[in-house]
Amino acid sequence: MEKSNDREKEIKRMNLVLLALAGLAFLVAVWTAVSNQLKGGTDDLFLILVCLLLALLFAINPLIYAKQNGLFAASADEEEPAPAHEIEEHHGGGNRENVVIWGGLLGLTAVEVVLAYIHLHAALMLTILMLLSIVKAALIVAYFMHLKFERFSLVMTIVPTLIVLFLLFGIFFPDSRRAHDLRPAMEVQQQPADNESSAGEEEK
Amino acid sequence: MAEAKAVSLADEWGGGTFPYRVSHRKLGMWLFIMSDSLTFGVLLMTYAYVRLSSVNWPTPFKFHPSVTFSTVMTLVLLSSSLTMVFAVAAAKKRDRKKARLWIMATMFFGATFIALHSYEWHHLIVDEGLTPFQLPAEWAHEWPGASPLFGSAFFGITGLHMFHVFTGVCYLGVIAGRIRKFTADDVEVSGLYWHFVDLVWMFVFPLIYLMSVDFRPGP
Repeated sequence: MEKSNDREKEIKRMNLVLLALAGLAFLVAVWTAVSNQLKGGTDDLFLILVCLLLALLFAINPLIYAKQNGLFAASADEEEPAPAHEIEEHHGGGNRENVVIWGGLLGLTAVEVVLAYIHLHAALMLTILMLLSIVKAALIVAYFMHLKFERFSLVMTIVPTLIVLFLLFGIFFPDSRRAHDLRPAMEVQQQPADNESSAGEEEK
Repeated sequence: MAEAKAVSLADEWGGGTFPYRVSHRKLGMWLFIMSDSLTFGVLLMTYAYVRLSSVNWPTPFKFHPSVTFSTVMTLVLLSSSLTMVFAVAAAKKRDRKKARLWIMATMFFGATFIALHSYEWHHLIVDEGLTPFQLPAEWAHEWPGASPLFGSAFFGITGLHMFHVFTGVCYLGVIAGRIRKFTADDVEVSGLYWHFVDLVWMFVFPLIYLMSVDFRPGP
């Protein structure tokens, strides 16, 4: 029983650390907004959004812990943890459902290709394509890879990584444009000496 | 597989249990998928950096044949994901023969993808003259000052993806060939890898092909 007590303490401590990290991420978001008096532009907007989402991510586990231990007044009954048996057989998603999902994926692909025919503004096209691709990825992960029918704790282990990856996209894509603006103005005709890798290579 | 004792929530990580109710092979594959998706994410971010910070960037993919070709490749890969799902379903129903057939269908689609992609590579390398570090003279003329790194971005990203498809086909070949030795769980784990390969293509296709469409009039 002593072992179980230690483990309970460890879990509590871990959740407090996570809550502190969530608070820290939230503070960074607030500091960003305040220190630039909301005039920072899209760079600040992305940083604020990313920090808020990170705060939410960090807060998920403590919130679940709090709900399970009845720290919220509303939920009084504690869920009985199911005893671990052999690996459960999942019967999620019959054949028909999978074909429907496949059809949806084809449809979304068709939308993307049709959009390519319309000469949209590049940033708008990129945003729409990324959003559609994220929807397609979510469908594949949830249904084909069966994650929708797995245990919630496994979902919570995998999905936040992918969310953080997309947040990183959200930071790096706009930041790349800043790299473009940092270049010195140059003539387009000549090959600049400080161009990326083909320095010194003659273009025939 | 050891049968787990009845345990409380806190003791789930004490050993002798399956914390996520999945086998260790499946969990291992999921962790690998998370890591590999970060790798592909990094490559795509690098591509974004190189492209958006360049003065000019080639957009050489005409609707016919390039975009139609790559759309067909996308459909092939999506269909392979569907056949893989059927294979896993058949394996769960202990229908080994059907599972093997569906896996071979998946392999067929994967091999088709590789063949189509290799054909495109051949066209770009031999016919157009694209290398990882230099644009063909025609392109350098069409898009003046364009970054010569188009080739490295294109070949790097699609090449790594094609490598994943190739190893996936080999992996599926082993599973299909010795299906009697494998459980339904093993088939499902191989399915996870295959769906991941498809998932990556869902991002590579729009970002590399659809963002580089050639709108210039003419053939």
